Amino acid sequence: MKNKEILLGVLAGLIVLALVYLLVSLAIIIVPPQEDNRWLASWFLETAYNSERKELWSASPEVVTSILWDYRGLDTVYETSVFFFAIIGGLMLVRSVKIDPSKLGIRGMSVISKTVTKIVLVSIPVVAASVALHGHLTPGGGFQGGSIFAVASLLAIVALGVGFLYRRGWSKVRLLGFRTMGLIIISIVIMAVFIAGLTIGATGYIVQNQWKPWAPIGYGYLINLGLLGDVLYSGSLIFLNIAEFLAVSAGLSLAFIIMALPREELIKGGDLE
Amino acid sequence: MILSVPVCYILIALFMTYALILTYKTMIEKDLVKAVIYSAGQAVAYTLVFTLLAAPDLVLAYVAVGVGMYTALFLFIISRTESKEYDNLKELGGMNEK
Repeated sequence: MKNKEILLGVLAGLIVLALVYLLVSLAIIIVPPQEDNRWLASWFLETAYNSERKELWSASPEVVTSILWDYRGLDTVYETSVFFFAIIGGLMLVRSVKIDPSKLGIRGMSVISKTVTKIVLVSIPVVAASVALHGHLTPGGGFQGGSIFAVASLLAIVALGVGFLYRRGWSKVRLLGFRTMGLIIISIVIMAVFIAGLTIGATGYIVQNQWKPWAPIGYGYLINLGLLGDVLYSGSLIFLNIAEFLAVSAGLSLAFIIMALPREELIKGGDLE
Repeated sequence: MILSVPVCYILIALFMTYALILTYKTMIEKDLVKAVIYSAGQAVAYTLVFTLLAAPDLVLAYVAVGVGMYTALFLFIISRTESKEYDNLKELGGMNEK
């Protein structure tokens, strides 16, 4: 590349940089490190963890998770089911493929990559689980934790080969079972208050989290663990986060395992596994 | 954020510029593997922008999906087909005759 081209490239980059800076700093495009929040943001920040207005709160200091699983919980349930059917649709394509674990072999990368991957493979699921289990306290949640977990299985597939996961029992049926278990837990948690309300003759809603003055059934938000003292679990949020974590991590891992199967196996087909 | 507002703006502008350049490189690149890597770089730049905009929830999802899964998905697909992009069918035909 000639010097002139490099100069032109740097110049163009600087011009774009200056233009973007001007646009942002003159408030032509408003970006949110601003002094005061808009009314919608203020409303959610004030009500999500406000114990003095318990008719509107969701008992969770993490406002994003409150909105996702409480204020607009039904939307998230539908998103999860759409994702489930996408995975089912992908599985339909390979429904007749019989996988022979002995033929998958130990194809993978060099010893260095394998060793490093084995170390990282321990830490990524830990991070994923903490992101999912603290989803009602800190940024994160079930989907984020699940997708971080899926990156771990992806690393294992690329560096250690699909056979590595298969020999450890990550079969199609078992992963699909975990996926379905997550969805069943979500269904039970969102329907429980509604059914309990029907049983005792009080008002109860689908995806209801805390009690309301006109709908007295809720999940509560504190649990006493003896020596550990009171622990905040934010009602249904923690159960929904764990279930979503199970569903997303198993579903995405399954999708990656199927994509990484040898091409000959996919073409040959075979009996239903 | 701890950063004062003007520094935050400069960094946002910088990373957005970086993302724009990488998006352009992704579009014109003929080698599809390189294009996917440029696209992952663009995702990294967006992640930094989201961090500066104080949206950590989005960052956690974007890192895993944009950098990890999206890249891997496309690399898998490219590994099942050719890794070159051709401008027209005549060029492709010429390749086959050889």
